[in-house]
Amino acid sequence: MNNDRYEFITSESHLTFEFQSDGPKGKIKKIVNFRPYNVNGRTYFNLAFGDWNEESARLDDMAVSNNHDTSKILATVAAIALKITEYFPDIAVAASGSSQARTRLYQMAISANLNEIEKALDVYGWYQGSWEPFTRNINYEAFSVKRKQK
Amino acid sequence: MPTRKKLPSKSVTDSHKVRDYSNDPFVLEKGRRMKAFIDKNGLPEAFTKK
Repeated sequence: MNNDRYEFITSESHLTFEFQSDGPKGKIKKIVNFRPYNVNGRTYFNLAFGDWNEESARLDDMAVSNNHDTSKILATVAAIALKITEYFPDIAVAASGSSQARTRLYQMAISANLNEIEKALDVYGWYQGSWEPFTRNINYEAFSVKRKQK
Repeated sequence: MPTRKKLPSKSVTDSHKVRDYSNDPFVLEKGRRMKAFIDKNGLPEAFTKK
């Protein structure tokens, strides 16, 4: 895992994590939320990652903050994904971006930290109509991870 | 609410100051889109075995 990452805090439910990007554009509040859903009686979390927009008082992930800390942010999101699966080891997490560019960012987060992530999580990507074990350099449409069962 | 495992680690600061964003419109929209995808395609088979 890239150790250059931001410290984060979590809500009482442990379903929301918060950290601050800190760079030339100032401090930007980043939120990672895991909302539970069910499919065929099985719970999974959807990962939503965005910036807190003070003006609109809502989250969005379309802003380009340009704070020169992309790799640090991606390492932080990867660390948060590892943490949520510590709290909820039996629940899969699913994620995709709001756009191809954002999905590509998730892919970069996984790829850059894959060695550490794979020690704890099984990682799958959706590619050409099926889930397959995550491999670097393939452009997936969506991702799903779950803590390895002991 | 899924059952949460209590962790001995103190590596993450628990904070009641962090609000729950589960009903933020952005979170709901992202969840709606992924739910449609998962309802259609399912989760990885390895994740659905008992």
